[in-house]
Amino acid sequence: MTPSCLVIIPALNEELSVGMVVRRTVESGFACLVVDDGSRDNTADVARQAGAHVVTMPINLGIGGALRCGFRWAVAHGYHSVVQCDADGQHSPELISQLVTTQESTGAHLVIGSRFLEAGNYDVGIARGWLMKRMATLASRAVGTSMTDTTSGFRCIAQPLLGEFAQHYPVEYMESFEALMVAADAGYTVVEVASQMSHRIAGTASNNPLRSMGFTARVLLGGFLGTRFKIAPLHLSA
Amino acid sequence: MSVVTRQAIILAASGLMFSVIILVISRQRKLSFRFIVGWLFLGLSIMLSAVFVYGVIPLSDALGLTPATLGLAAGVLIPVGIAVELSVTASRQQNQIRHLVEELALLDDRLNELEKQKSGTPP
Repeated sequence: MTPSCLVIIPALNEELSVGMVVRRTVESGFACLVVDDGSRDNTADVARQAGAHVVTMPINLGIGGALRCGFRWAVAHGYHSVVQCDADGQHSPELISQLVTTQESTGAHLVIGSRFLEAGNYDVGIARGWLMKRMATLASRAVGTSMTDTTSGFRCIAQPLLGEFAQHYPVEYMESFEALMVAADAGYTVVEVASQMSHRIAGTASNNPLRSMGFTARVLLGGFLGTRFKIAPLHLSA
Repeated sequence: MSVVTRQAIILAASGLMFSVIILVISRQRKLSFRFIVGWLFLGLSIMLSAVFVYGVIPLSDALGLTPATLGLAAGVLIPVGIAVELSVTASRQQNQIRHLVEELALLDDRLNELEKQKSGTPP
């Protein structure tokens, strides 16, 4: 039987939370791959003991690099789709099936779990909120329908887009927005589904606000300068 | 000895010394061929500029610059060009390293799986 969906959890120094996330994912009935992105703690062992398959990066590449490695693993093992999920407990593993069901019923290539589609408990600051709205406006224009959450890291990616992302994917932080824009521009179908998220249950975020601003500037400038990565358009992809 | 002649001698000596240093480093196999060629070209250019130093004043006059400004501009533009070339190389290699790290992680995973299968442990 062909495996259908793999949950990919990129993790960096998340030993306090990754075990719980993996256990809940496996209990939800999904195969789980943790990409340990050069952690200095016991993230890999904790994830393995919780029931995940673990791929360990010899050095830290950043979220995009870890995800691309996971995409490559999924393609090599014949998966049709993947769900990416944070290791810090912000995404509820019980909602993974919601993303997968939406992907299967709509046939979309990219399903994004949006924090803002329905009133939820996720608050962002004023400046960050303003920036996210601007990015949502740009994404809505590219996708052709209203988008509310372009930076959500809770998303389902299906073939043939998965195969493209396994070869070409931005390696730096804020890769989620860039990937969404590139997929939409190449003609792949993008849809959103409401998905509540909470704040991390342990550990610290790997980026400070200043770095995040720098990465945001990079992805926004990338659109103007035409420096974004490129994937095969939908009609040419395998 | 005129000022221009002294400048020509200094330039020729600097170019020669620079080229010798590059040759020594390259014989120690610390530089790849493309960089050896590039730096030796720069060393030879400095040596040849000793010959053309006599033409600097007419050239700077023609461009409406002082000889010092012309020399400064040439001295700045060459390292800037080299820095851009090195940035391109560094960016390409950064990308290649990322791909290699991913490939290494995936190969390590495959090796672990094969070892488990060989020892009879379920993966």
